[in-house]
Amino acid sequence: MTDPSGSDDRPKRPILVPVIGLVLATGLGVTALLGGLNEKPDLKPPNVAAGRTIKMGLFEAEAVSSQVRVQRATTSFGEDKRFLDLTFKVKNVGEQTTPVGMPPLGGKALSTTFAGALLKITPPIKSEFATAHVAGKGQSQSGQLHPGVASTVIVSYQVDQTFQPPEKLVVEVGGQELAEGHIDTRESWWPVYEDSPGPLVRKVLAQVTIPVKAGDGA
Amino acid sequence: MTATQEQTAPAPDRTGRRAPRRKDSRVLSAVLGLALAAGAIWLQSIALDNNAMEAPLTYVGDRDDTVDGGRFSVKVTSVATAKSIETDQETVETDQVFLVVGAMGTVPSEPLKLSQPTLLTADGLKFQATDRIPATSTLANRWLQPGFWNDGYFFFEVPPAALPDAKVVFEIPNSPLYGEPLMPEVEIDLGLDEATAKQPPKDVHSLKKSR
Amino acid sequence: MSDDDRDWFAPRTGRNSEPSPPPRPRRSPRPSLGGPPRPPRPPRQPLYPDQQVWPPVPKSQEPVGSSTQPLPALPSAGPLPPRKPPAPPEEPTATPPPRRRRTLLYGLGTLAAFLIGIGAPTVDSYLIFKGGRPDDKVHLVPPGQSYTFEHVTWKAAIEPMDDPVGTTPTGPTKEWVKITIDRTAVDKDGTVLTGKPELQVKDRRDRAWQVEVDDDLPAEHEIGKTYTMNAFGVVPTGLAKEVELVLRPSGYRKDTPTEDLFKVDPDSTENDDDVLRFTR
Repeated sequence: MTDPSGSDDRPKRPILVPVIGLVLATGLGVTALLGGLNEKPDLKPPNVAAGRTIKMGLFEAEAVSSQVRVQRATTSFGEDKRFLDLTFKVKNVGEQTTPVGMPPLGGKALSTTFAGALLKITPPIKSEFATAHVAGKGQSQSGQLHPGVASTVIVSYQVDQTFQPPEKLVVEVGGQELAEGHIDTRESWWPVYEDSPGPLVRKVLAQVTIPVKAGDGA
Repeated sequence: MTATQEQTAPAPDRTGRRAPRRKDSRVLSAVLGLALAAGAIWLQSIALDNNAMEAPLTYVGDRDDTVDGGRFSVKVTSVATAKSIETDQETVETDQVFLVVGAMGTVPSEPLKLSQPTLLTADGLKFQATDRIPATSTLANRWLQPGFWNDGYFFFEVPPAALPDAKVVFEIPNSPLYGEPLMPEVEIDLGLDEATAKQPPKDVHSLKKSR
Repeated sequence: MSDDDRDWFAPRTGRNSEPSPPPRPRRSPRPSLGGPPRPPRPPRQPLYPDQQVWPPVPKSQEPVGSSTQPLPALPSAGPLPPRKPPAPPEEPTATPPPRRRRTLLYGLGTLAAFLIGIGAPTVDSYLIFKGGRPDDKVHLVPPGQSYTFEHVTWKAAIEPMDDPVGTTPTGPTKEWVKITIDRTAVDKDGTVLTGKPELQVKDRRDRAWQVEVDDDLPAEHEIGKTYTMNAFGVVPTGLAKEVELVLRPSGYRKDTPTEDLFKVDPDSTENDDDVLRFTR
């Protein structure tokens, strides 16, 4: 104040710094109070029509069709079995052969396999037994998805005799990502989970709509 | 100041003589320090990552070589391609191609069975032996024992483009609970070049006849 | 520089545990690790000798460094004796020998660090490895005799045999051996410990061959009754008369309820690391 030359500018500097600090602190506090930046709900998983390719991480898949199949009894006292078959074209884009896996059937979907990523079907299919296999030439079946090879995968849900197939199915598909494990620290494929705390929940990458064709068992 | 300075006075010629050498050694020390730091950074950069640390010890060889993997030895005796495989039960066909690898193996002391092998292609893809042919029809079903060789086949279902420069990697099963850190594996180059890989596959490879 | 190097005042230089050397502008400190800086050379006073206190010596005769009172370092006071360094007095004069000794020490230290760095993880991994695979406890059975282990008495015989019917001929390099095993339960537990034993034959060099048990015995046995099972194996030609049977009794009890099959009993002392070796 005693120096007339510096008296004009001097008050600005001591105020500017605390003001900026205060603004930053307030912003940070408000963000923290609102729950942080990561809490914004994710966009709804996109709806994908059958025939469009879904990038799942380890696999590139495309839903083809769905139909009810009847497996005739091989013996006179056996019963016919009915299956709801979902057909996919799946390409393993990883570097090594992976098993095709099993559909989770409402259980914990913790597997990195292709069938393990078919998280949920709407309307729900009442089924206690489900398998998946890779179709080959002729009758031979395989449980392997080889790297770089596109194969036809058939996922079969065994349904009871009263099952009425809906017109279309919506399948929620999860994904896989490369990450390091905690115990086995090698980098390997892991299921993609939601960021939410608590029990692990698979993240839905896409909802695929598959029309149900009129099969011989419909 | 003056007091201490004056103390150096009795030996001025000594320090004067040493001064140039000390300057050199300072430069030398700096260079040495930099070299050590650079060396440490370089060492850090070539350190193996976890995947490499956990990887098996690989013994390599060519087709028709006896490759000793320590706990087991393997030799690839034949390589063929086929459109279908005839087993005792059925004939299995493929849209791609079946690679039939004839191999024999033995062990120095402890009997063991090989795991289903892996085909390592030129671009780094790893194809597991196919499960369309039951494992009971492969060499993985036979005990490798000391003193003699047991032979058999392994089958891969691969796209024809995967054949050139492909190698087969033989492994032995590891304990799931107390896994060993450094398992042996034997990697054998099948000697398939572009030309041999393009040869048309046989229609049928029969396991019945070869038995 | 000059002020800080003036070490005559304790408070000034008191922060340094070591006395600062007198200033030598063109000298860099020696690059030794943790060693004391090289003390000034000329006047050295190893220890203050006893001094006459009474009657007081005339001041003019008193040496400058003998006063117990700190004196201000005045430029006019003339040259001051340096403070005695705490280092061993031979150090500056005998520089080359300790240096060589320290090089050796560094080398040994590096080697030790290297060995520990490599060795400790190796030993640790080996202990983990060994923890899962305890050494077998071998019970040697004299030739032709039976042996009672825990609840079952075992007896075994090995003989060479011709190729079994329906197998591919073994050729000149291999031959078949037939093993006959008699087992008798000696108590109640022995009647339910009927899991198939693990069998191998071993030669004198401890090479092992796999042996497959052929017969299925009844699930429950009677006490004192002998059950016989046959096993077959292939060994290199000439060894059929030499190889000895190594039998690992199974710890599986046939009366285990299905729901307990995969239970792990932490108190269980029954391991599968006991083996019987029937010598010949």
